[in-house]
Amino acid sequence: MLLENIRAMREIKKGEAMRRRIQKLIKKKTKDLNSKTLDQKQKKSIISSLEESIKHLNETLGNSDDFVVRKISVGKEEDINIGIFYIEGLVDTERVSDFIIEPLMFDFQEDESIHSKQDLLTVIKDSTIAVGDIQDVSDYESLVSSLASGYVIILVDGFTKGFTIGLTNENYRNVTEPSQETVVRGPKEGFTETLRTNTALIRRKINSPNLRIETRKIGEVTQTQVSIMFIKGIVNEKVLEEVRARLSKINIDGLLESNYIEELIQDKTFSPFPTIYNTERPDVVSACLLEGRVAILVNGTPFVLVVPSLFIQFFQAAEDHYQRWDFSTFIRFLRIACFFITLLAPSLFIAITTYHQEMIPTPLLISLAAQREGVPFPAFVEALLMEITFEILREGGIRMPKAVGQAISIVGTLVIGTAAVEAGFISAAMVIIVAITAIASFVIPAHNMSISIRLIRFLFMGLAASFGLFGITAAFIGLILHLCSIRSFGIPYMSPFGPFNVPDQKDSLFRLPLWRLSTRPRLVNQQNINREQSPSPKPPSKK
Amino acid sequence: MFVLIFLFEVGSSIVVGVGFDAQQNAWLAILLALIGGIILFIVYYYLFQQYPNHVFTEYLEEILGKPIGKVVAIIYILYFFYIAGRVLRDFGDLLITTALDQTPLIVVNLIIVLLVLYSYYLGIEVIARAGNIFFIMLIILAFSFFLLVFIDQLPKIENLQPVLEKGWEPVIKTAFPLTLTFPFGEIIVFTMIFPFLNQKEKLFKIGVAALTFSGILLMLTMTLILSVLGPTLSSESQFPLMDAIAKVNIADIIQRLDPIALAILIIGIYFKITIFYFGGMYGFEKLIQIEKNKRKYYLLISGGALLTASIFMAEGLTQHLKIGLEIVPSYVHLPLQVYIPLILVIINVVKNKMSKYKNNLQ
Repeated sequence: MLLENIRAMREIKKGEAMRRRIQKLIKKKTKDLNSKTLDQKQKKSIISSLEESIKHLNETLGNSDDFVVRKISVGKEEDINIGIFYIEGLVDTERVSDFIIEPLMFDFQEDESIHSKQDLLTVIKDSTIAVGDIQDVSDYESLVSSLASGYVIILVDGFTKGFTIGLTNENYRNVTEPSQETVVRGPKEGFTETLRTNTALIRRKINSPNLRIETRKIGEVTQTQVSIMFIKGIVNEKVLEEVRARLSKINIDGLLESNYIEELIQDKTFSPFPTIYNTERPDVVSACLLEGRVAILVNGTPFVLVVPSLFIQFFQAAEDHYQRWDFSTFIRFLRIACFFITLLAPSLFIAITTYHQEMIPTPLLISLAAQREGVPFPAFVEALLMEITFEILREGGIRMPKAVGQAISIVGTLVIGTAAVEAGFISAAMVIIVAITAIASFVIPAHNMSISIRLIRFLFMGLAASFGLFGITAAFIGLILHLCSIRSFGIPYMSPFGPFNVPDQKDSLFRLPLWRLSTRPRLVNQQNINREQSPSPKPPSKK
Repeated sequence: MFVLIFLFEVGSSIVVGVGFDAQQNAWLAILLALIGGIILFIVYYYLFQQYPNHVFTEYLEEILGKPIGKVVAIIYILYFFYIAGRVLRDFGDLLITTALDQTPLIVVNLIIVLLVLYSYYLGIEVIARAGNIFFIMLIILAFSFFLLVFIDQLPKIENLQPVLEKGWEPVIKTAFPLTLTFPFGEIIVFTMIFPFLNQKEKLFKIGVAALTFSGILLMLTMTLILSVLGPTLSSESQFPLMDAIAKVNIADIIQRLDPIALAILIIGIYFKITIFYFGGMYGFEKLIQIEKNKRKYYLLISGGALLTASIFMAEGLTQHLKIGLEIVPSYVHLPLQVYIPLILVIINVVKNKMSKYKNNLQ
């Protein structure tokens, strides 16, 4: 009986598998067909008749409202019909009339040099239109895609060739001070949403011909421009190859923010830690490029990705190199301390108050016990409640409209600060711990790193509540093991600490004076280690 | 590698305390044992040089022939597992007596076993990298321990006197075999790790340096503990370091630091267990040639075995320590750590001579 059942089950499973396979095949076939028809439609070369072309374009774009068609007739007998096409909003209309329509209508008529029909296009291109970026186009596919990315198209009646003219509307957000990474001293410009502006911002900082940009389009539907930037001769070629390979594997509908790319190309998805650094500061990107890293810029977002990135990088800020080295070193140590506070403060408090009371000096212990007298919860629940309340407040503060933000902060301080303690819900010491944790988590410069630490914190709290310090240590060992097992584009995440690397210590936790920083990070950059070295400044010798 | 040997040596011995049977002269005993340890290391190194691409259990077969070699290899694998279990038990008992008196032993050990399995799963490279980071922490913490003890003026030089009161005999007795085998002789497990090294030429230097460094640190710590606690208390206490740290009390604010010391010790012990487990498991993998996709199951099974072994090893802490300090060193450690490797060296030398002799004849 049982055997038969099993056999039957197997049959069913087999059937299922077959069905799935067939479905897959069918899908593939239809997909092939679809793509084939698409290809045929769009690879079509341009029809010589202007009317036909307009009809065709209108069809392809579905009579879109923002698609502008302007027909003009020029020449002595007004027998040359020219069509100008663009998409409203993407193109600077004023310049279109100034530099395309006007020259065509007025300058062109006086021109006597048109002898044959063949010359017509050359004359239009070479001596009439007063725009720098002008290119030939001969098939509808590239024509439509240029149209969609903000080019002006010119077609002349009777020719199977046209021009694309770059007159993109540059009315985007201006270069402003970055909202996330602000500095006291240092450049105050931040990336914008336009790819070209962003690459220009970096070019302005690194005026070397070795600064290379490779651009490609990713996203089946959005056709988003993505650029890789690196400095030839400094970059680690292996990493560069890896970046190219991983980018070319991406197959996605839409690409709206650089995080789409980050999630698709990072080494480890099942890890709370970010393995790709992001920044909105051109100077940070430039510094990374100079160290031999690769930057990935995505059109439409001011956040630029930098790979490979190491754990310690998330604790360094742009300002570290704009301030005195001793102070920067101090700040870096402070950040590491804050990392530990964010991670461990609540769990240590739980562990010590529940398991290791003997560690607390007696007077403090008595006052703690007095505070906790009326509190109905164990320390763990108390801490959990407060931490979650804090997270709620934080999230609420971000999403709130600015006008309401004040209300949130008032409610927050009142509820957390005073009322909870006075009501005997929470002990005052716990409020202090949670507040310190919260503030410490904001000291870490990289937002994505502080998020991940805040997440792991809850795990630590749970273990502290059940095993005391032992639980914390065990979790800590696990955490370090995990961190050591991560790689970012082939580079061990915890370097230069594990594997330990003496030369790289100069600019990781410490920040030695600039004249001592004569080498690039060894693991990031393997071919061109030595930087130019300037001698240490010395006062003129006394006579 | 330096770091691994160091962490391994210091790991559990620093907790349990070494050489206190020699009373005031514990430091001498450790020093003697260290010299012995270095000699042992040379023996292992010699063997490794003969077969630079094989782990210990593999070249056992080459030296002793297939059947005997296999048997000896299995003995070694069991030995590594057993020691891993022992250290685990040591550790569990330590935790339960000091901090978590209401938690069952099995839960504490389970957590450590899970960590060990995780690290084996991640591989030796990750273990070594993590070792680097823990090494930095351990050094900082050890240094602050020294500093705190001295700030509090706890060490008393009288506790270390008189030197060599009863002559050399008790010193030598503690040094051999107990301190020699534990912790120094235990580096035999590193014969399972040597082939993974990147720079094999440097191994000898690094190994000796690590041994010396850890030996000296052990010596310093033990001397400090002795000078804080006095000879009687330190040889009677189960975990002398904890008692010594617990005495620190600076201005009534920094006091009772033993849980923090405990945290350091957990790290050290974890490393020790991991390396022994690695030795055993890797040897096992090589011996029966496990398929990649079945590795997970073997890992789980061996982890479970380790856990059970650590719990049923002895009935209580006293019995456990008695076995560990009296029976294991002379009947298990000595033959496996000293005699067999020595025999291997002799056989190898003879074999080499023979083949040379044969070559000469031809």
